[in-house]
Amino acid sequence: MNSFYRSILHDIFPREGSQYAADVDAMVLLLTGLCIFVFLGIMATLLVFSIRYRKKNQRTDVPNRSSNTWLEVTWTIGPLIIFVGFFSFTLGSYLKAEIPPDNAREMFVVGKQWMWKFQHEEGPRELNEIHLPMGGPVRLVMISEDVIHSLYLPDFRIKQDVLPGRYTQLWFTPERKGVFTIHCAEFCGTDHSRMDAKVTVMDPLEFDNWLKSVSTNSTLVDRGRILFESHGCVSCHNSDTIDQAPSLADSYGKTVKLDNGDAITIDENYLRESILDPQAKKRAGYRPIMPAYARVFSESEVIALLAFLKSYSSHRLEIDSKREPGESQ
Amino acid sequence: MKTSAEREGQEPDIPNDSNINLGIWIFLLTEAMLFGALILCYSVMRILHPAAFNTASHLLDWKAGTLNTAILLFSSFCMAVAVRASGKGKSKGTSVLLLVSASLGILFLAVKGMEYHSEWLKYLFPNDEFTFAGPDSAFVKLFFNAYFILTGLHAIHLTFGILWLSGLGIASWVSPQFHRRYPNAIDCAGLYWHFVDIVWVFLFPLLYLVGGS
Amino acid sequence: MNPSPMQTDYLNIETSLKSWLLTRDHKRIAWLYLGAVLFFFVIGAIAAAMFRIELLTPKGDFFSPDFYNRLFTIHGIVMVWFFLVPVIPATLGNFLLPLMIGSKDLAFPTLNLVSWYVFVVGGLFTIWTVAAGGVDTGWTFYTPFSSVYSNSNTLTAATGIFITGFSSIMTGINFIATIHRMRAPGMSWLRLPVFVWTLYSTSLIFILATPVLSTVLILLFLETQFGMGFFNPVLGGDPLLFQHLFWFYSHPAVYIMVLPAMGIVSEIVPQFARNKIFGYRFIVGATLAIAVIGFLVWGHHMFVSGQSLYSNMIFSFLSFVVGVPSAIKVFNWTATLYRGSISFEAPMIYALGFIFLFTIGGMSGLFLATLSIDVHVHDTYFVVAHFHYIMVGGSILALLGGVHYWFPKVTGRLYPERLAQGSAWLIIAGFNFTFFPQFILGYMGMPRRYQSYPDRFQTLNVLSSAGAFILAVGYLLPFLYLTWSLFKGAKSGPNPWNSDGLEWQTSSPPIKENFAHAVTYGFRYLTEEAKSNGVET
Repeated sequence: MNSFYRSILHDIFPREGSQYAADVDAMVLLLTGLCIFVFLGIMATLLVFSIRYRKKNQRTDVPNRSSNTWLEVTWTIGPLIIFVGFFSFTLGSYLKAEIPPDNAREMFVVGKQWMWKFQHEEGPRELNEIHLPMGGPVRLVMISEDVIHSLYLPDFRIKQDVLPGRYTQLWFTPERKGVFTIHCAEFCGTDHSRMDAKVTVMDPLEFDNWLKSVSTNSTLVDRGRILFESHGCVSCHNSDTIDQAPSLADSYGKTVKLDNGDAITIDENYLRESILDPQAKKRAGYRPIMPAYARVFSESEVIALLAFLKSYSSHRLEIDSKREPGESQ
Repeated sequence: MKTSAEREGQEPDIPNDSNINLGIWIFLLTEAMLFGALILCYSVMRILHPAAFNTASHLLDWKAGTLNTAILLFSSFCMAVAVRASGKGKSKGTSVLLLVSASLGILFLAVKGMEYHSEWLKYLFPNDEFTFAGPDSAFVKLFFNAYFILTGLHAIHLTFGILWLSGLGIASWVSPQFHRRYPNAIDCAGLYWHFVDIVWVFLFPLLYLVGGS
Repeated sequence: MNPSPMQTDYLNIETSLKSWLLTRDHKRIAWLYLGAVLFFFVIGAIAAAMFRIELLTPKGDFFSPDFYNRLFTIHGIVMVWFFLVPVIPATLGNFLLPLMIGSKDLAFPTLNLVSWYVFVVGGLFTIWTVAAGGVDTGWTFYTPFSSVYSNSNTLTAATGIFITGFSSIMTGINFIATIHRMRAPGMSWLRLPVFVWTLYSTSLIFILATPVLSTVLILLFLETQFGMGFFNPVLGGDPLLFQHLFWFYSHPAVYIMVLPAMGIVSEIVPQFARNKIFGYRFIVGATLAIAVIGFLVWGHHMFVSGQSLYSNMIFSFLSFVVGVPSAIKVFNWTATLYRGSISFEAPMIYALGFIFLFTIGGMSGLFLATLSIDVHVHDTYFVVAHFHYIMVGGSILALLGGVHYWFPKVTGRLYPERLAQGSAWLIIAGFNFTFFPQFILGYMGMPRRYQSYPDRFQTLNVLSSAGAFILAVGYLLPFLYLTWSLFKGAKSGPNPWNSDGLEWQTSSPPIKENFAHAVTYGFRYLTEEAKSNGVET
C-alpha cells in the first residue's frame, strides 16, 4: 500500500533534478498539508452545522446576536499571521534561487519561433538540446529574437521568460544525471506546444569528452574578438584613445557615471544596449560619436561580443591567445 | 391606484439632476484613469530614452504650446463665469459666455492644427516617412508617437466639449426656460470643460517643457 | 394572491418587440443582457468542448495548431469579457439593485439601455472576429506577439473588447450613482444588502480599471496598425509595460467576476439558514478591502516575466494579504449556519458548493502567491485550474444559485426543485472532475496553451475532458428546465422563500414601477406594510 502512495507521489512530482527542486517540493508538501488541515476544518464545521442545525420546523426565534468582534478579529489576524509567516519562511529560498553564484558556468540562450539555440562559451552551438556537466552551477543568459518565450525546466522547478530586446537570466545546479525536458511556457504562436529542448546532464569527465568531440575552431571569446576587430570597435576603444572612447578592458561589473549624473553598473544588458544604441545611456565625459549598431549585429553576434568584452583585459588577452582553441577552462 | 411616479408629480423619465452631476464626476474619474495610464506610458518611455526624448521635446513649438495654454485657461475662466451667470438665470449672458468658451476651444484647435501641419511638413509625423537626422531617430519617433496620441486624444475630447458648449449656448439663447428645466446642464458641461483644460495643463509641461532649455 | 386578469407586471404590460428593444426598465434590460451573455457563453463553451476533445490525445491530431490556438483564445476572450465580467452585474445586478434599495429604477435608465447596445456592438466585433477566422494571441494579447507576429484578427478582437469596456463603464457609473442617490428613506449604508455592497465595489473597479484597459487597447491598436510602438522593443518600446497595464485591469477584473458572486452567496446563505448574516460589517469591510487591495496585486501575474526582484517580493506579499478578506468571508458564511434552521433547496446547494470550491481555489492561490512555488507552476495547468475554481466554481455556481433563488422574483414562477438539486450536484461533480486533475497536471509540469503534450499527461487530460462533458450536461439541464418553468412553472406568489429582503416585498414578477407605494425601509415595519399592501396588488 505504501508503495502505491509512493508511486502516486512519484507521478505527481516531476523528477527532482536538483536539491532546489527537492526544497520546492518540500515547501509544496508543507503548504498542501497546511491547506488540507484548514480546509478539512472549515468543511467539517460546515458539515456539522448543516446536520446539527438542519431545518426541523419553521423557526420563530431570530437570534439577535449576529456578530462577534473578537471572533472576527481572531480570524482576520490569524490568517494574516499564517500568510505573512509563510511568505517570510519561503522568501529565503526564492532569493537564493534568483541570485546566481559567481562561479556559475555561463551559457547563452537565444529563443526564436519555435526553437532554442544554445551557445557554450567554449564555442560549440547546440539546437534544441544542451549538454551540461553535473554538479556545477549553470547560469543561462537568455534573449529572444522575436516574441516572448519562457524557458521552463519542470524537473528543476524553474522558469524564466525570455524577452526580445533584453537579457534575462536563470541559474540552477544539475545534480542528477539524465535527460530532462525544456518546455516553452509563454504562448508564442503556432508551434508553442512543440518548442521543446532536451537537457543532457553528464559526469564532468564525460562532459569534457563530449565537448572535445564537438569542439569548434574558435571559442565564443575568439569570435567576439574577431567581431571587435573587424567592425573597427578597437580603433576607438583602446588604451591609446581613452579621451575619445572609454577603454573597455576590465570594465565589466564596474560602476560608472552617466552624463545625466546617474551611476550604472556595467552588466550584460548595459553593454548590449550601448552597442546597439550608444546614446541611450551615455558615459559621462564622452562625446556622442559612436554610431548605433542596432541593424548591424545579430543576437548571436552580440552574445559573442559580450563574451569577449567580459573577458577583455590586457592580462587575460595574453593567456587567451596562448590557449589551444576549444580547450575548456 | 396611482403609480409612484404620478404621485410624486414629476416625469418618471427625466433623471434627477443631482444624479447627473454625480454621474459626471464619476465619468471624469474614468477619464482621469484613461489619461493617467497614457501619461504613465509616456513617462516610462521617457525614463527609458531620456536623451532622445529631450531632443524630441525641443522640436516642438513651445511658443504655440504656451499660447494654447493661455487660450484654454482663459476659456476655463469664461466657462466658470458662464456657470455663475446661469445660476443667476441670465440666459443671454450665459449663452454668450458659453459661445466664447467654445470659440476659444476652436482657436486652440486651430493653433494645434497649425502645429500639426508644420510637424507634418518637417516629416515629424510618426508614419513611414518619419525622418529625423540626429541620433536615435527611432526613439525620437517614439516621442512623437506619444505626442500625437496624447494631444490627439485631448483634441478629440476638446472637440466633443466644443460641440457640447455650442449646443448649450444655442439652447440657452433660444429658450430662456432652459436653465429652469435643466438646472445642472451647464454645471456638468463646465465640469467636463475644466477637466479637459486640466489635462492640457498636465500635457503642456510634460511634452513641451521637460526637455529643459 | 388574487389572480385577476387585470393584473399587470413588467413582463406583460407591453409585449411588442419594440417595447423590449427600446425599454428603459432595468428589469427588461436585465433580460436583454441575459440573452446576449448566454449567446456568448454558448460560443465560449463550444470552443472549450472542442479543445477538450483535442486534448484527449497527446498528439495534436484533431485540429491544426493554429486552429487550436484560436479555440482557446476565443474561449478566453468571450468568457472573460462577454460572459463573466458582465453576467452577474448586468443581469441579476441590474434586475435586483433598484428592488433591493427600494427604488423604481436605476439613476440613468437610458444610459442602462445604451450600455446594452454598446455591449452588443462590441459583441458584433467579436462575432466578426470569429467569422473572419479567429484570433490566436491568447486572451492576454501579449506583445510583441499580438502586435507584430500574429497574422490573425487582433484588431477586430481588440476593438470589440474596447467597445465593450464602455458598456462596463456605463454600468459602473449607473450603479454607483444609483446606490448613492436612489436608496429609499431608511435604507442607510449599513442596512444595504451585501449583494448591493458587492455591486458597489464591482462598479468601483469598473470605472477605475476599465479605462486602463482602454488605454492599453488603443496603444495595441496603434502599434499593430501604424507601427507606433510602445511595446515593441525593436521600436524602443517595452513589452513588460504592456503586461503591467494589461494586468492592472485584468487582475481587478477577476474581482469584478467574483465579488458579485460573493454577494449572491451572502444573500442565499442567511436566507436558507433562516439566520441573519454573521458579521455583516466585516463582510462589507472585506468586500471593500478586496476591491482596494485587488488593485495592488497585478504584478503577481509577472513573477517570471523579468520584472525586478523587489517588485516580485512586494507583489507576493500583497497577494498573501489579499487572501485575508476572502478568508474572512468564508468564516462568516460558515458562522451564519450556526444555530440556524437550514434547508437545502437548490440555491443553498449552489451556495455551499461555492464555499467548497472557492475555498479550494483560494487556497491554491496561496501556492501561486509563494514566489518559489509560482516560478514552477506559473503558466502551467495549475494556474488554469486555480482560476477556473474561482471563476467557474465560484462565479458560475453563485450565478446559478442566484438565478434559482430569484427565479420566482423575476418570473413569478417556481422551478422544479428536485431536478434543480440534481443538476446542482451534477455540476459540482463535473466541475471537480474537469479541473481538479489540472492542478496535478500543472504540478507535473504541463504548460498551458499546449495543443500536444508528452504521453505521461494523457490519463489526467482524459479525466479532465470526461469531466467537461459531465459539466456540459450539468449546464444544459438548468437551461432546459428553467426555460420550461418560465412558461409552465407553478405560480410562486410574491414571496415563496418568506424572505425579509426588500426585493421580495412587492409582487413577483414586480410591476413596472417596482413598488406600488413609496418605500420606507425599516426592519419589521416594512414586512407588515408589504403584507397589507401586497395582497391587493
